Amino acid sequence: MNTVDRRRRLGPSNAIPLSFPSVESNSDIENTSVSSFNEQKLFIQLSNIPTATGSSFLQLGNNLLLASVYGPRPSFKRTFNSKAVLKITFHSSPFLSSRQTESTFNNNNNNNNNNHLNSDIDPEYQIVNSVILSTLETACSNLILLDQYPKSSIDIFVNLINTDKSTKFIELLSLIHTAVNLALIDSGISVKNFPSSIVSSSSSSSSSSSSSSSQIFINSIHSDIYDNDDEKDLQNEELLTFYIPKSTNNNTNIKSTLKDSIDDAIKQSRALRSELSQFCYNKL
Amino acid sequence: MSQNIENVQLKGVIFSPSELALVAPDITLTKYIKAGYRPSLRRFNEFKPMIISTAGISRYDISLLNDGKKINELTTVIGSSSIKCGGTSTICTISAGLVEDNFEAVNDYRMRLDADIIVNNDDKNEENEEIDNILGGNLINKNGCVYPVIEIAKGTTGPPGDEEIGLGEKLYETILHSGLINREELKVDVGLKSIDENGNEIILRGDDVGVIKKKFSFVIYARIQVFGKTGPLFDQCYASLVKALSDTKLPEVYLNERESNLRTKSGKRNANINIQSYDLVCDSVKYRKLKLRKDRICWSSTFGIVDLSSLNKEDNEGDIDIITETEEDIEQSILLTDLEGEAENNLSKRISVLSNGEGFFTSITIEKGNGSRITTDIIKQALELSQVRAKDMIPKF
Repeated sequence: MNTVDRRRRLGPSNAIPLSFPSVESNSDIENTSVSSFNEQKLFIQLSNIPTATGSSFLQLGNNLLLASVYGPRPSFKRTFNSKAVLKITFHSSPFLSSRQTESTFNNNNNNNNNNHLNSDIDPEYQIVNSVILSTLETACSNLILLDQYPKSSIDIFVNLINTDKSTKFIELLSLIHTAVNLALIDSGISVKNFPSSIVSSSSSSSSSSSSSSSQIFINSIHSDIYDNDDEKDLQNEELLTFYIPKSTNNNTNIKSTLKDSIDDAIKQSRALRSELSQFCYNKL
Repeated sequence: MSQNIENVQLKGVIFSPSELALVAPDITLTKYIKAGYRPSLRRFNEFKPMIISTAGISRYDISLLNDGKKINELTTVIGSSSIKCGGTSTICTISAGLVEDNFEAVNDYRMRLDADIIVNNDDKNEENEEIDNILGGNLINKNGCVYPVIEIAKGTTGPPGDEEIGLGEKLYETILHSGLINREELKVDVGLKSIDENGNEIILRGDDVGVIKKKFSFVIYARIQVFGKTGPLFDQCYASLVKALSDTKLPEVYLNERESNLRTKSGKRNANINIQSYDLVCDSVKYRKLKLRKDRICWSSTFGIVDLSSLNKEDNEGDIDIITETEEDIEQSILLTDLEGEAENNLSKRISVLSNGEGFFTSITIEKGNGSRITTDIIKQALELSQVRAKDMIPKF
C-alpha cells in the first residue's frame, strides 16, 4: 500500500502538482505552425555523450530529444542467444504534463465543475508510449544486423526533454525515429542501410474533408536492389516500420490512397536521407 | 615436475599507455604526476572550464520559432539549466508543487526521522533551543529546500544507483543548510479568482479573501540528468541546480471561487483532509522570480589528494620497480583540482568546499580516506583555491 520511494527525497507526498489553465488558443497560429513542421530547421549534434557508443541530440522548434545507444555489450544470460538482444527505453520528462490527463479549466462554463479531465483531447496530439516503443522496436530489429552480435545486448535510450503543444504526436514520432536512426549511425553498429523517417501528409487523399489531411509516418531504408529509373526505384524501398493514425473520417478509399501516400512519403524520405547522409559524411 | 617449474620463465608484458590506463589506472596516475602533469594534461591546480547556460526549456522561455505563443503550455518546468564540462553534460529542470504549510513537516517526519525535519514548537525548552541555535536554528522554518532527483545515464535501466541517491541527498542537505532559499520566498500568496459586477475577471488577495484560511507553500522539485560521466559529479550538479534555481519563476496561484466553498471532512478520524478538493490553479502567464539569497550562492570545488611516497627515486628502466615504503621516504601530498578520469575518481582522500568567493564557506567536507594524514597546508591550499574559483565562476550564474 505504501509506495513511498524511500531511496530518494521526492518531497512531501501530499503536494499538489501545478496545474495551469490553458490559454485560449488561437487556432490560426496552430495551423500555421503545423504546416511548417517539415520546413523548420533541424539541429543535430552527434556523439555528445562520450560514455555511450553512439548518441544524437535533436532540436526542432521546442522539441528536444536525446537518443543514445549503448552496446553491443556482452550479455551473461544462461541461454545462448544467436542474435543480439535489443532493449529500447523511452523516457519523457516527468514535468511534461501528460496530454492524456491534462486538466482544463474553463471559467465561462460554471456548470461543468469538478471535471478536470478533459476527455476530448485531440487524439492527434496525445503521446502514446506504446506506439513509440512498438514502432521503435520493429524499426530497430529490422534495421540492425542483430545476427552479427551473438551473446550480446544493445540498449537504446530515448530521452524526450521538451516538446510543445503544437507538435502532433506523429511528428514527434518521426523525430524520435530520426534521433534513434542517427544515434545508431553514430554508434557504428552494423545496420542494413542508411535509414530515414518522415511524416508525409498527403493532401490529395481527402480533399473533400477540409482540414484533416491524413498523415502517414514511415521509417525506411533503401533495399539492395537499385533501379536507374526514379519512379521504378520507389519500389525498392524497404519499410522498417510505419504508423497511420486512426483517422476520424471514414476513409472508404483508403487502399487506393495508401499506395500513393506511401510513394509520396518515400520520395520525401529519400530527400531527407540524402541530406542526413551528407551531414553524417561530413562529420567523418 | 620440479624441472618443469624451473623452466617457467616470467615474461615481461608491455602495455601501451592507453592499455595501462585501463589495467592499472593508479600506476598511470603516479607516472603522470611524477612527470608533473595529470592524465588529462592539466596542471595540478588547474580547473576544468565549465560552460553554464540556461537551457531555455521552461514554460516561460519564449521560443523564437513558435512566434504565436508566449509560453510553452505543455510543460510545468519553471526553470532550467544546462552545463557542459569536458565530456559531461548536465540538464537540470525545475518544477514545483503546492503543499499546505502545516502538512509538510508531518509528512516528512513520517518519511524520514531526520533531526532537521522534526518541528515541535509546543514543548520547546531552553536546552533544545540552544541545540537549535548551534545547528543553525530551526532550519525547516527558515530555509527552503529543493527535492532533487539525479539521473546518470549509464545505459542501464533499473532502480537508482548508490551514486544517484547519494548525490541527491547531498544536494538536498546542501541547499537546505546553506539557506540559499528563504522559506518565506516559497510562501504562496493565494488569490481568489472571481468575476466582478461588470463581468470582468478579478483576482482578490490578502484581506479581501476571507475564505482562505490555510496557507500554502511551493515545493520545488529538480531533475538533474547527467550524460557522460568523467569524474565526481557533485560540483557540476550543484552548479546546474543553482543556475536552474536562479532561472526559476514561480507562477501566481489563485483559488477558484466556485470551489472554494467546498468543504472537506475534518475531525480526528479523518485527519487526512483531501486538499485536492481545493481547486488551486496557477496563472498561466503571470509569475514572479524566485529570489535566492545572493550571499549564499556558492561554488562547489572538490579536490583530491594524491600521496607520492617516493618522488626522489629514479625509475630503473626495464626493471620492475617495487616501491617499498619505509619511514625515511619523503611523503608528499599533492592537491588535484576538478578530478577527472577513473584514476583520479578513485582517490579516497578528498576535500569538498562550497565557497561564496568572499571569504565565507557554507560547507567544507574532508574525507580522510586511506594513506597519510591530511595536513593543514593542504586544507589551506584547498580553501584558497576554492575561493579563487568561486570568485571566478559565481558571476556566471
